[in-house]
Amino acid sequence: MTEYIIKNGCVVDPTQNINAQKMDICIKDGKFVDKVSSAAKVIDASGKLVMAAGVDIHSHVAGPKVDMGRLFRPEDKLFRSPMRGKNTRMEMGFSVPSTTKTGYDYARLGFAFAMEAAMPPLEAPHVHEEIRDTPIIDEGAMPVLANNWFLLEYFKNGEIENAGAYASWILNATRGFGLKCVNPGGTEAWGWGLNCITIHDKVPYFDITPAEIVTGLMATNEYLRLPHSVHVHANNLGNPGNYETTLDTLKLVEGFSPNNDFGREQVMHHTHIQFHCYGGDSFKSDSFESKSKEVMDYVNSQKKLTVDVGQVTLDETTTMTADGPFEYHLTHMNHLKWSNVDVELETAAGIVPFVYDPKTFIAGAQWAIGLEIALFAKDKDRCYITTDHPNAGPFWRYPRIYKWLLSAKARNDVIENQLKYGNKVIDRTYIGELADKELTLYELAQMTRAGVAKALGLKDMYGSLKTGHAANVAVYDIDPENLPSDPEQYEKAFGSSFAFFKDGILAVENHDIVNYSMPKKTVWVNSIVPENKQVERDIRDKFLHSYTVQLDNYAVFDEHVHNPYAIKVDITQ
Amino acid sequence: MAMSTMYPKYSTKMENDTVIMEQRLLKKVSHLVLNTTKCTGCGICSEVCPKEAIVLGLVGAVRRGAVKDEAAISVDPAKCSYCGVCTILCPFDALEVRVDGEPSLPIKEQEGFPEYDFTAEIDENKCVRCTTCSEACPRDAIVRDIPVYEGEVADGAKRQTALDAETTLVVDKEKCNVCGICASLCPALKIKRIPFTAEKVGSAGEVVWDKSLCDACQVCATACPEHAIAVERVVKEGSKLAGKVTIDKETCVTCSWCEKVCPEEAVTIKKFFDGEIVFNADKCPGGCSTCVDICPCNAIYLPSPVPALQLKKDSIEPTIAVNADLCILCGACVNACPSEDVITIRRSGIHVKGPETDLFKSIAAKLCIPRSSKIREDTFGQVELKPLE
Repeated sequence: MTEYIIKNGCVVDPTQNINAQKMDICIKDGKFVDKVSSAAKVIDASGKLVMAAGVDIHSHVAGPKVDMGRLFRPEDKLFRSPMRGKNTRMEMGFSVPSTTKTGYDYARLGFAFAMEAAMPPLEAPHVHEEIRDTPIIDEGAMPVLANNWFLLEYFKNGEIENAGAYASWILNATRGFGLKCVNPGGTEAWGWGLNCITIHDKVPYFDITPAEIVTGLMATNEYLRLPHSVHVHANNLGNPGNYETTLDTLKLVEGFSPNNDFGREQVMHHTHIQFHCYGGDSFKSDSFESKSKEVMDYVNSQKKLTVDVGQVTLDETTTMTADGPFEYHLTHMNHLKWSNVDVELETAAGIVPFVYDPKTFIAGAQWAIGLEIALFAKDKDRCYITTDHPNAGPFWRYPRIYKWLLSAKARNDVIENQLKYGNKVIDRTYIGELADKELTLYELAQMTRAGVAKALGLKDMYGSLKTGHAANVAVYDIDPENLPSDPEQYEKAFGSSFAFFKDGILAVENHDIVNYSMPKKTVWVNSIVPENKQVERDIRDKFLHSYTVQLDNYAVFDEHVHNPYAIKVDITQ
Repeated sequence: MAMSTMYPKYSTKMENDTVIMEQRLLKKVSHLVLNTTKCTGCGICSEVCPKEAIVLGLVGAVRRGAVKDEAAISVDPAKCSYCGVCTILCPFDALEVRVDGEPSLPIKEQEGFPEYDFTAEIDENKCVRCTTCSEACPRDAIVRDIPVYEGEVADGAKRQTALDAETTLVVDKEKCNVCGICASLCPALKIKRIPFTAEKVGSAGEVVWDKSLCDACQVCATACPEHAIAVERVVKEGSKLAGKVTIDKETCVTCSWCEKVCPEEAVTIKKFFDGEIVFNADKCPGGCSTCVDICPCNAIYLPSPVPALQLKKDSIEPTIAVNADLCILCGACVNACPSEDVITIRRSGIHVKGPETDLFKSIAAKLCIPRSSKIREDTFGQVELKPLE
């Protein structure tokens, strides 16, 4: 296989405490090696930044609701789809890009892995088919389980071993990666047109509370010793005053400790926490306020938590989530088209377009709150940059977020020149307090690579330039020794990597995608648990009585998974 | 079976709503006539038949109209002795024995068998002639002999005739200027005007009132520009609609719907069977509702779903339920139920009047065998129950 040497780049790799050191990175047979032969192809990275490839912990990139978003928003593509390039297929879509555009854009950003954040177990084949068609990047997908009838019953009865046997079966059947929790209980209540707003609202019939569901999921996750923790989207998303529900949810970690062999230290990952840090009792500018400090104070004090931001990018985008009642609420606020799907026995989803208009107070405040979270985070290994793509904005806006975080000047420019109510936003949030704060490139690497990979339990696969690791590495047009004075340069450089290697294969060379046919992987967790006759019987019974598909046709067939890469976790050993 | 063409000759024929079983002798013809519109498939005839000549068929399908040209019961005209026990004990008046074309029940006339004793009465003094019982009655047994008023049909009796009242209308002649407004508004008022004449220009005359058309609505009094009209009505104490509401004892099956819904507690029903009915909803397969459809008393219902907000694991509505107060223990539901052990009927007593003969006693004992339905029956096409205890 070809050898490469990335010469003279300025390397930032928090996993090795390397902070802007000039060094060469050698690649051979798809892996980082200490040295290569003189035949190695040279990538001249002098005056450039070299980082491990990015890892996205939360992104809606494949599956039924993403596709519904693509289908019912043809206007999202209109006049926004570049012509087919020399080495690429057609790319379509702005906020909900086609699978090919998704893969190319992640590669342009220098990302090697993206986690599909919400996979309805029943519709796992849809997710895997789209993963197959997404080029370059490796992907995993988390089955949504916090409104699953089996688990609600097991949790109600306090049967964690049974819950574990079922969750293990689901992970294997759907080729899933981890346990995802979306509006615990509330989405099931939405099956009846209801919701759970606090963590103590009971789910109809199942007679269980969101608090019991979240603790049940954490207990199950640690029982199964999974690489990633429970991945939580809490109740009451997007409502003024919801930070109390968020804190209540976060505090549920206090009785748990991590149990795994992957170096993961958290027991709960709370996703897109920006949407969960609201104070006040209405969206009016004299009531709505940021509670990012209150929430981040707790996150900073609690080592068992990781979070991602869900940064609003001030774009017209498409919201899509398994939080059915929230999307219904949203369509009543903005009167834009709404789509809803309820998935039998499992979950639901809703989709509504949304315009984060900088001319509105609320979009400005949401924008500020996201940045506050990233800036307040003390331990950058536990706070990650996301947009909950495409809910707060499309993922390919990450470089713009980096710009806002790396440069106070860029933030102030938005407040002064883009936001109509910049002063009110400063009044009602903490963004003014943080006016001088700027992230370093080292912190950025923690928040987009090293920390993320660790939280996912994938620190040995992604996020590091260590010798022996898969050679996923990005080179950007930024000189850490001579940082650009114009913040726009950050956005430009991170948006179009100079070079990008995926598993040792040069995917982007001199800003152009040159190869997209490398064997990308589907990373999943093969969970092995003791035989459980009770759960086997329950599964057969439910498929016989309640599912519209047969048990034999439920699990994803082997040939349906593209280059599966199983992480085996055997708790019977 | 030699000489099978000779007398007695037996036949069965179906004519519209009746099935006629015939035994023809040289000089005498006996008929057992089944009215299929009245038959509910309750099976009492089959249980009481001294000759075991009656069997139950596709009760649910026939009663629901899914099977045409078939009755819920079938009688073997050759086994039948035309004794009339079935006729006497059919609660639905669906069977009749005729000899030489005339209704005939010698067993009753000769005091060889008792008949049902039950109470179905409406206290005329308490009854206010409302419509509740007649609408609730599942058997159309309420005879509501009340005038039809214009509220129900346009040419019905005038509504003011419904009240026993004294109405007066006084026109103050001093004030009345014979303007004619009152007459233009109401058919009960006419103006008898003195013809206009150039000789003496002015408006004069009188207002004439037809008491029978006045319903004391007060429109004329209010519309009169001179306040010249006074209308007064005094309703007599205890005024009620004319007529009478009674129960047709031939049709009544003592379900007691009328008693339960009567707002004046004017109805007394005493049933002809004692006993109990028990539904075991856990064994009901759901999605069938045959029992609901065929119950002659509308005593069986599909319980309403619990609203989501109140939904708990143990609060799911049962698949099926009965209001035992409305049940007459006829047994049609047990005969029609395709499942096993869902419905159990235990009759503990039969109220009769007349001679309780040995024949009756042996029949009563059969009626009192507790029973449930059965999934696997031995004879195809026939209802066979599962005796209990």
